Amino acid sequence: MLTALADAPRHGYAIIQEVLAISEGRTRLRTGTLYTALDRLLQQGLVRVEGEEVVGGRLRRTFALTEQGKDLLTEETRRLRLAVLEAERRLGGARLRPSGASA
Amino acid sequence: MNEQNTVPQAGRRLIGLYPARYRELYGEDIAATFAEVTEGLTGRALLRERLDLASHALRLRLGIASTDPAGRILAGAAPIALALGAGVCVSDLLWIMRDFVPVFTHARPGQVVRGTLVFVLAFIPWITALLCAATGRWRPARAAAVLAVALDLVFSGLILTVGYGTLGELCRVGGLAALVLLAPPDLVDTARRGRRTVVAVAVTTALTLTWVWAIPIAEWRPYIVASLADLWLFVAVAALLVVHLSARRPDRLRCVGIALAAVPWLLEYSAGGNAEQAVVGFTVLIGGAFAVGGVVQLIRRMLGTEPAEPA
Repeated sequence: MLTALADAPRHGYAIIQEVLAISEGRTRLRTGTLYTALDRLLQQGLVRVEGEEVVGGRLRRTFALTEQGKDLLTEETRRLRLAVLEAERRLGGARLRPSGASA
Repeated sequence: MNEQNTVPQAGRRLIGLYPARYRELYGEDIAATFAEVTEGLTGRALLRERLDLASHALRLRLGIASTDPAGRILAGAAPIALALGAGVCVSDLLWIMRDFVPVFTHARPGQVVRGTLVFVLAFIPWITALLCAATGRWRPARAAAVLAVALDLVFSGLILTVGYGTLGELCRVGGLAALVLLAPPDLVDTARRGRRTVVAVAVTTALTLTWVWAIPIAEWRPYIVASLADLWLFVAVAALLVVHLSARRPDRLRCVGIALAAVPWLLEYSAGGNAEQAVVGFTVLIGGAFAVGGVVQLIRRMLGTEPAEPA
């Protein structure tokens, strides 16, 4: 959800759509689950209410990342990038070594 | 509100389940999202959406959402309660196999089929629940655990007459089902450490209960069966509590949840006529675990090993 809010503030339905797209269709948030998560992220200070607007006759509240949320996402991204680099390095090394060889 | 008119009636009714203050703040927004999400949905997909929204609303109303302390306590309790249930089940399974396999070999085919059916219905849901929890799939684990306790209740009803035994079973089954169902699923620890803890608690419970009942000395057996055997379940919980409470930054609400996970069995043992022994055993072991955790934290502070608060 933090990734879904990383580039722009979004309203509830847009977050659901964005999470679906980011996860390549694997994660479909339901409405109750979305607001459960938003409640927690708001309480932890990772997300804030950006504003309210009426679109198509419906009130929509938009949510955005706070500085703390951005920092957490940045840190998590760095951690994942390091893990990916390490996995790629090891996989590359494994191809060069004969099968069953110890490191 | 005009916006409310564009929300389907079922959605408006569900929004009405939210506490008034929360509804005032988020009601319209949730209603708008719900209306968009459910547009074009029918059948089971629509039912799942409605149940999910109702569940969120009721959790908030009951004060057990993932932002509430009670929700965090329940999230700590549920996986441990499930692990204890599965551990007790595995222990029972081992003893039933020992006692009944020789009987089955001389039984008529019809009896073998009935016996096997009961055996499968009683144990497969618990094993499924444990496997799902061990692989981080909490929702299927929860469903399997609820099925398991429901079948426990059915079998207890079939086997026992109304009395201490049935009342104890009812307390345990009701308590277990409540813990597993009421815990906020998004807050249950399904990370690697949480999954390992569930497996460790289940295995420890199964082994300790089996070991205690396997003590061969005949003159010791009645005393151990009547008293100490029940307490081994609390020993597993107390050991886990000591580990959690001795951590650098213990999550105290989660620790209360771990202690709460043993309460269904405390109720069962108490209703079974061993009330005093069960309560004393529970209090000594769980209270002792909290005391040990407190001492460890005190020593940490005295030695100055507590890490500085992040800026």
